[in-house]
Amino acid sequence: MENKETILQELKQISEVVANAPKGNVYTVPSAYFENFPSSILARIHSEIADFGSKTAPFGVPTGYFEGLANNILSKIKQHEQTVEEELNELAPLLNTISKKPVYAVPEGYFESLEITIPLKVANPPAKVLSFGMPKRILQYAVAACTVGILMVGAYFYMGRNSDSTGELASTIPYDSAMKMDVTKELAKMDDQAIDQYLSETPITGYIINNISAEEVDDQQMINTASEEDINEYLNETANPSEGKSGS
Amino acid sequence: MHLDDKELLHQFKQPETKEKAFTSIIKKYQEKLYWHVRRMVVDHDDANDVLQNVFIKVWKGLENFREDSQLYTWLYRIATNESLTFLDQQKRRSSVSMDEVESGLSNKIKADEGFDAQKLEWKLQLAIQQLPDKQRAVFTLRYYDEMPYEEMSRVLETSEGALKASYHHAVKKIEDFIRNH
Repeated sequence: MENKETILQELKQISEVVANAPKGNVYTVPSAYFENFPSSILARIHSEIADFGSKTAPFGVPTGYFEGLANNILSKIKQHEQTVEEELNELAPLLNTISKKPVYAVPEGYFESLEITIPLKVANPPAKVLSFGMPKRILQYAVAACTVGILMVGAYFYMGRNSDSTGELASTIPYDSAMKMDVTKELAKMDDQAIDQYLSETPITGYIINNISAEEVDDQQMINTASEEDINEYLNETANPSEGKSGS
Repeated sequence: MHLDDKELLHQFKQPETKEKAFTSIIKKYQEKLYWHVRRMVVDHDDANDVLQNVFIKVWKGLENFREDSQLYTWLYRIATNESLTFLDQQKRRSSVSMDEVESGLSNKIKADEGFDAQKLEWKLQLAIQQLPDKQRAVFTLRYYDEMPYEEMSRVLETSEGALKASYHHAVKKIEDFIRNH
């Protein structure tokens, strides 16, 4: 809570009159109000929880209300339903007095002949003709899309044949020649210095330790070339749990 | 001696100590909140109704209360909002103007059995009731509850600058009222 003195000083700066007004409480509270307040709140909460938990509706319903509800609704609907005659009586009673018998003549035997001809027409309905004519603009777009697709597929295969694993074009050795190459002979032709430089630049120790079996590796050479960290990692990975037990 | 808020909140979240912790929270804050509400709505019965609603809301919301704000601030915010809502409802229900509601509050003060028009403290109460509702909340929170502006800005969700200006205007209005009555 902020310092009382600070608040008083602030008030004095704004208004001496208000600052000097007595701050005492003028209102009264019924006796034992605060003592009883927590229990009255809890009682209210309990009653709310009980009402909520019981799920009973707080409203009363007249006896037999639901039993007769459907019939009541139907009778009300019927009350509001008018026959055509009733409706016409309200709107134009004169029309109800006129006969509804048709006044127009029909050729003799028309309805009889109609009964024969209609089923024939229904049995063999003429096939619906669908036009294959595509709008000219859609056709143009389709041709353009096909052309682009063919060019992209061609480019993909061309690049794939002439690229190495990193996707760069192999500029010195064609793909077919590389497949037929005798690697041992080619290595013999290479300068020792170039091989040393390649080996020194390429991190191979981790790969050797992880991927080559112990029989394939000259132990002494591995110890000479591998770092202490690599050796520790290798020992941890290949440690035989039974060794630890026997040693203890 | 009241328990620490953190401990009370922890106890509230345990089913076996929930009610005990809630009772402790009520006991700890009931008087502060009551007087804050009472100064807003004046009448004891109204204050009691509002305070009950405040604690019912606290019961319902305390489970999800995020402890990144203080319990005290949160309680004051609920109490202030409930008081303002109550006054707003009264205005709507009676469909009277704001001036009439303010004079209604003044009449309630005058109807108090201890009211003495000559006493400055009663004049001060009448002056406070002339203030618009939210300004009255700002004044009472600062003057009576001695709340820092920073805290008040969280309670009323208003900037500190606006609260300082509001308090300044409120004090000036009260001063004018006391001088002229």
